[in-house]
Amino acid sequence: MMAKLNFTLDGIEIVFSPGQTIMDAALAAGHYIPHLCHEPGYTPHGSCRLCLVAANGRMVSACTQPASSDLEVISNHESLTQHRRQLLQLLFIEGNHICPACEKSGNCKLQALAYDQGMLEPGFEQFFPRRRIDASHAGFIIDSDRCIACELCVRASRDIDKKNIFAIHGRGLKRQLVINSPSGELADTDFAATDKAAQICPVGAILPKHQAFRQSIGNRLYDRQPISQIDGVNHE
Amino acid sequence: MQVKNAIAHTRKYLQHSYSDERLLLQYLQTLQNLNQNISASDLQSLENLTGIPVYAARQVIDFYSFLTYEDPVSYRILVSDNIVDQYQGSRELMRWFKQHLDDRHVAVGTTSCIGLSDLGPGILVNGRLISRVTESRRESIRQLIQTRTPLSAWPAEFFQVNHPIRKSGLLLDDQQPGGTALAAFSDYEPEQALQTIQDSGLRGRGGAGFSTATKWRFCRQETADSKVVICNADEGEPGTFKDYVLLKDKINLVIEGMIIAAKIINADKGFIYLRGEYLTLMPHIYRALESYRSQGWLSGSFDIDIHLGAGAYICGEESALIESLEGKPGIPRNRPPFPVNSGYCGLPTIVNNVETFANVSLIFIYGAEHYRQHGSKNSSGTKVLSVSGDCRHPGVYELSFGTRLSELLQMAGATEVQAVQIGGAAGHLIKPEHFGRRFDFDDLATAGAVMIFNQQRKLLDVASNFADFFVHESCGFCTPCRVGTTVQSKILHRFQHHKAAAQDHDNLQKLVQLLKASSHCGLGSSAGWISESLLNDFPEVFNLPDNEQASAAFFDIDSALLEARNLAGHQ
Repeated sequence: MMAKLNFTLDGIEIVFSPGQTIMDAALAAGHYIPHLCHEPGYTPHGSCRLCLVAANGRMVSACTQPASSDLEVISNHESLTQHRRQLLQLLFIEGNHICPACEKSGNCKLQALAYDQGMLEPGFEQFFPRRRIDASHAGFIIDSDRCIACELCVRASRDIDKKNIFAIHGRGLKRQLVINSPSGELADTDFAATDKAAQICPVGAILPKHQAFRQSIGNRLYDRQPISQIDGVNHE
Repeated sequence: MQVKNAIAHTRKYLQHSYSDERLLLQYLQTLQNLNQNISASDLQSLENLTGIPVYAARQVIDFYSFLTYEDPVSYRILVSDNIVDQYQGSRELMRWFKQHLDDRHVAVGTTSCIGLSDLGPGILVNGRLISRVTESRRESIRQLIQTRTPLSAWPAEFFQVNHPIRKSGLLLDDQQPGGTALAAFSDYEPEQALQTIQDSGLRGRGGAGFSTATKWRFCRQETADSKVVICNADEGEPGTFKDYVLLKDKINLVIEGMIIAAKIINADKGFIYLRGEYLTLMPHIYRALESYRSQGWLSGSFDIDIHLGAGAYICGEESALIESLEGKPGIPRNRPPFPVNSGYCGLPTIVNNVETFANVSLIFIYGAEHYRQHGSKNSSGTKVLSVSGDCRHPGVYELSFGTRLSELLQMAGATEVQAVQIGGAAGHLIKPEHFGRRFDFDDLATAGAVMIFNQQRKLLDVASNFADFFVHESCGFCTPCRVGTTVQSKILHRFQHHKAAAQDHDNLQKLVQLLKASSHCGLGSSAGWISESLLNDFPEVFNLPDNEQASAAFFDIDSALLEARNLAGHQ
């Protein structure tokens, strides 16, 4: 029998199997590394950069870096927390994330991570973008101003729902969520509430209609427990 | 019919077989160059003919600057907007064109550096380079456009690009006839040839300086039925143009270097990824490839195709380049896997700079030992530099590694120098106390752009221009680069216009560190270097006024009122 493979995460030994990333192994062992664009079981993306860790001193994204047995990984460190806070600030100022007015408040990973990482202010000037809102669909609304370009909906629709409804177009700040349909509208697709893509948005960019406050503020997922305890539990 | 012809035209010049999907970007380029625009009906025809959905083509169009959708014009003038171009009158030139060609058939805009900083101001007209647009030349261009003269009937000399060669060395002096390197190489077994390259000490000329032999050995060790050699001819770094010269004058050395690479790693596919700005070099390179084909050096067992970029600096990053070759937006990949293990279409792939391939040929022509005599201990051979800015003799300089910056400045006739930017926008600004530093992988490692700024220049103008470049060229994939480059630009512009607050200084410092530590690729991690250079070596440019502005962070009353003023019609 082969010896168990392991690396250390903040001094704790983490067992992994070949092919796992640092993130896979850490989450499987019940250790939380902050992340937004990652979801267990999805193709790793590495775009939000929230899972920035130092692996043998080199800065890498834990969700894309393969685990290996000679690694000493540091995640919980003040300098990394500062970087994560700034990354969160950049995501907040890039879009229009007005938590008190957002239906997703309390169920939003961006908001929950900001609390978790101690981000108390936007830090940089707000961009206040004016992007497209698509309310064409009977059951869902797309608010691009709240999109963080994590491509979870793109991956869910393409890889799991097999519908390929979403894409991100453009370059730089112009990167935006678009709908792969002749009219560019969601109503023109076979998008359904049962789609994985309808449930995966970590922020308030893909919102179900007529549901807004059925669950009261204060009783929502991340209102009750910090994200590190909810998303950090063993998914296996 | 038009789209069908464009597809046939694109395929006619290609040796390998490709799916339509892989050629999407090339089809779109052909359509764009045909009509200076891509129309909705073109995309519908493309979908009917190839099955590629309109939205998939739109995704590619939306990524590349040179592809335009539903914006029909007969003439598209793009003025190169690097800071060195601006010093040569590019902004005034653009205003002049806008004023004198007020015509719905003409579009005038700016573009990132097109590689004419030594011959500025330079423009692209319908994708073709025109250097030294003097007052008389701009007037001629105006007349030609007003008379609707097709570009094929414009004076040929307008399209001649003659970068001055100010100093030549081992590479630019080489006059051996084509085939010399290949003939010398034929005496070697692949393993022995690899050892020779290793003995020469050759390191990649794209800037990072990775050992060429090591990269090729990794790829050689891969077992695969098909492998790929890519020549990165996407020199998009502001201020660089030396690869243009090598592709024009030393194309034999480049092609032979690629053939040698193919034989060593056992590749069957070759690509030259040529930046869209160098469209006019394409026939020249194609003719050179044809001559190697007619001599049997290129054939079914290994052949080289030219693919065109379309105005995206990020495609100089090797994995973004590979994505672009596959017909997609140029977003850098996650690593691992590395291209040597899994690159173009998952095949083991090496990507090297134009100059690196040319140097490989030199090593076989002159021998590793002779080659090593040039340069310094850890940096053998020569480096070809593109010199522009405030000097009497801008142009191309080939220097032995180890040459001091001060020696170059003297050769270039640069006086009263305030600072020198080494490495383009993704480089560092060097102050006079450090002009004794050497061009060397251990010291001033660079792909070759050298921009000189005299004491009259405002370094915040320089930095703001580079920051704007990164805003334009960030692919937008990762958070720090997508958002951080814009924040950096806003802060630098506030300092430039004396509207900065103390918080801006702190934020700039934080951003520089964040971009370096957290970006997805080299573009993001180098995007803050210009600010870092200023913060460390030119701190005096950040002087803040001693008044209440320090507390008025971010607030600019004029921009806050701009929208209301526009709505009310007040100026």
